[in-house]
Amino acid sequence: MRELRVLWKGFSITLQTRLEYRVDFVLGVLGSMGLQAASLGTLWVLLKNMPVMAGWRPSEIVMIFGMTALVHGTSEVFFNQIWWTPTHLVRGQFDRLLVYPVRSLPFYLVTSPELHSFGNLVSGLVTFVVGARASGVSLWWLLALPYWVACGTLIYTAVLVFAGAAVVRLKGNYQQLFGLVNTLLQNSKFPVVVFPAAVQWLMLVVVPLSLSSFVPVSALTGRQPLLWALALPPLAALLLCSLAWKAWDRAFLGYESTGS
Amino acid sequence: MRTELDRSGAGHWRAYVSVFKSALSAHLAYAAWIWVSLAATAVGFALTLLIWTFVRGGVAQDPPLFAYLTLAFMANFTLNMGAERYIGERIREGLVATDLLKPVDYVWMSFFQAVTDSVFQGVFTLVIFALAYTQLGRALLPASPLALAQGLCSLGLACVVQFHLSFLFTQLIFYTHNNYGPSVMRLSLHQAFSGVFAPLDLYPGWMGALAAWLPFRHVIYTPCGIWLGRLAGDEAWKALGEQALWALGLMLAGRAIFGAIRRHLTIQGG
Amino acid sequence: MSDPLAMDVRHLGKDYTRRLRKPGFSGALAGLFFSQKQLVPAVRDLSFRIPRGAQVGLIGENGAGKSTTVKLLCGILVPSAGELTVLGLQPWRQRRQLAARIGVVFGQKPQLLWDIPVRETFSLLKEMYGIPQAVFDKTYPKVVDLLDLEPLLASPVRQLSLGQRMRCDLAAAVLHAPDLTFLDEPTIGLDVVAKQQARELIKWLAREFGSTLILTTHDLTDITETCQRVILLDKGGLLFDGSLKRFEDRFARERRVVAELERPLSPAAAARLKARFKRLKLRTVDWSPLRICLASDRSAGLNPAAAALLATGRVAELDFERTEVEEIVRQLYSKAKAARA
Repeated sequence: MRELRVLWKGFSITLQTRLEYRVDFVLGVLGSMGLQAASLGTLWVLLKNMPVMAGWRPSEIVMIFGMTALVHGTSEVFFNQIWWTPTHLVRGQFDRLLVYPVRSLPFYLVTSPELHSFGNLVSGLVTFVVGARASGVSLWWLLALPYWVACGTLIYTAVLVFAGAAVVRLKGNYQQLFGLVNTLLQNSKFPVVVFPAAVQWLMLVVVPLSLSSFVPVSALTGRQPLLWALALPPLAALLLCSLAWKAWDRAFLGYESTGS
Repeated sequence: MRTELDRSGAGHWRAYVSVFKSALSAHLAYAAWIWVSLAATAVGFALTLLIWTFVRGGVAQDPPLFAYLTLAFMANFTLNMGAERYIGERIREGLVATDLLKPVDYVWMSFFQAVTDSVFQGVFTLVIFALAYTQLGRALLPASPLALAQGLCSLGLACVVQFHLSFLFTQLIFYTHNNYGPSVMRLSLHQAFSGVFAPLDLYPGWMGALAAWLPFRHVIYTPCGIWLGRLAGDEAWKALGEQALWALGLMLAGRAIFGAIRRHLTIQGG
Repeated sequence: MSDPLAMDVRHLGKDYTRRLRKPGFSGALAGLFFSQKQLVPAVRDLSFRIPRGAQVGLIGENGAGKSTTVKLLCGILVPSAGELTVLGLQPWRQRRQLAARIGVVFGQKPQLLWDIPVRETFSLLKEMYGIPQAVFDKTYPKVVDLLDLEPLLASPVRQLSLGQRMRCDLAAAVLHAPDLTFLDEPTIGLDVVAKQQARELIKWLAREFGSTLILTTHDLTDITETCQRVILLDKGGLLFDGSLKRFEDRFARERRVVAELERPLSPAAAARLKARFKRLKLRTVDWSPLRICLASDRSAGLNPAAAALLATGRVAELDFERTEVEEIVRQLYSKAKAARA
């Protein structure tokens, strides 16, 4: 319990300081909404060439876009610090973390919230709602949205933690590993069926980023049984989180710090 | 009596060459990074290509489009200078103070540091070019010798445009005190209007019109379009001219804004 | 009954792997594709025991392995060889349990959170260490008072100077009254007054809570003022381990007399004195027109020298000195370097 209180305190204190950078907050929110708009623009260009993509209507694809943006935004709001792993590693700033009497991973994850991602949350929600209405999906399903977003957030963050563990193990500034994970997430905005079988396997099983967006929307649009959408995401989240945590702890057994 | 030292060499152009060389050596020191970076970016490129392959029904259905996408990816990777990283983080941490102590022009120094990213990354994208050539063949090559010359010139100007766009946005950090907001802002505009995901001539109505008025097209679409002949003849010369004007304009704007900011600069912490 | 030892270190070793790169641009380019690795021992076969409540100075040249040793003891690094227990715990295996009982200051890497006010960091640490209110009521006002932190508490850390950050960092490390405190260059960036404040805090901590202290520093005054024992490292190995008194007695037998003159001696008087000092077997450290410094292993020889100097009637000031610890360390390293060569 005390450890949870410490996590909450660490999160809330750093959140308060972020709120002091008001101009940066506004720019960041607008920027992240702009990024979402840019990717919707790309979808628009694609759909001009192919109005129905593998049997998926534009409004249904837009629902996947929205859900992915919500996962992205939630992960960044709460767990953004994982992206700083290469920088902190190169500067030896994990020394400080390792002398705190707390579990290093959760404390590290929550003590640098990224408020700009509220832009992703807002645009993701709007996108999902617009897509759901146009697809004829009942808006009562919005009540289940936090469930899928939470699962997706844990899955995405777990994969980022794997990347962080790899960076610690490799002992270098491999920022692009995080970029790769984000690229996979951004491409999970598209119905996974447009990809070859090997890529579908990658996005649904190996790095199951499509599990909490494509699969729920498939269920909501009648393509999959709802049970899959309810059962698979939390199972994947649980498995990935525990494996990622182990990988993180193991990686730090080889941690070397820097200089004095 | 004290002998006055000859300080005429300070700030000489050779200093910028040294900045360039030392930044390049720093890249080589973190060699494995480039392989990881290329592999990671190539995965994104491959996924984009797979989506377009699905939409178009195969590479053979539209080789010029896939040639454009390949060159756009190469240009995007090459021109990802990370200027926000160099300049933005140093502003945020107050290290800009040590940069301003050096007897060199701050903007040019930052440019020569950032452009090493382009040189380094550009060399590695030739691997992608070679792989893509096996599928696309001649479609990847310049439309004509003139297109080759214009394309290379345009690529050089694209470096200048890209750097100064980043530089302008990083000046916002002096006000925001954080580099996330400005860099996300620039990235969203770049992704929307540079033509990195699709040629701008495929953009629908108002999006294409808006892209025509913004400088971001001159980072990706202009050099790739000229190289492949999508922009040819008078259109190519017009695009080159606009690109050069934007390069000059952004350079002057960046200097003016930085000059104004310097007069009010506070750097905290000792 | 609790373990009387604060730490028990046996044959501790730590190796780092380094990439070997050929010099020059072509070497750097070749490094992209081929590279050789080298094992570099940062700590070699280190053994010592420290009882609870001791204050120990850990000194060494740059690159001697001080910080690596501290990080091994804190549980940040995993040893390559040897065994160690700190407060009865195995540091890297029982990191969190140990972390709850130790305080650490890394001089080059402040632990304060960059963007938040100092006060908020202290509040977070209170929660993190579960500091009982009774303890917090003792430590918090004391550190704020001793280190003069009141004006800084509301400021975000990024707005503080290096010295201010160091003072706040020191306070943050001791708020929970740790059983064992590691201070790795804690006085870096501190002015003379702040250094004295830091030393007072360290002494108070030892008096009030019996905290064991490991202090690494290049400012040897920190050591002479706060520590009773010295461990000297050289190239990751142990060069000396013993009390400060034994350190000085063994290595600082030399005494000096220093005379500042009002006006120079006449050539004849100077020649007479030189001959006298030669008979007394004194070593001349400095002989300039207005300053004479003589040294001897026996203080007895210096008294007649002092009397002779005073008899000239030109002495403005006369002092007796021991060799500074810094000078001892410098001589020791020179000898060790010469022995290696």
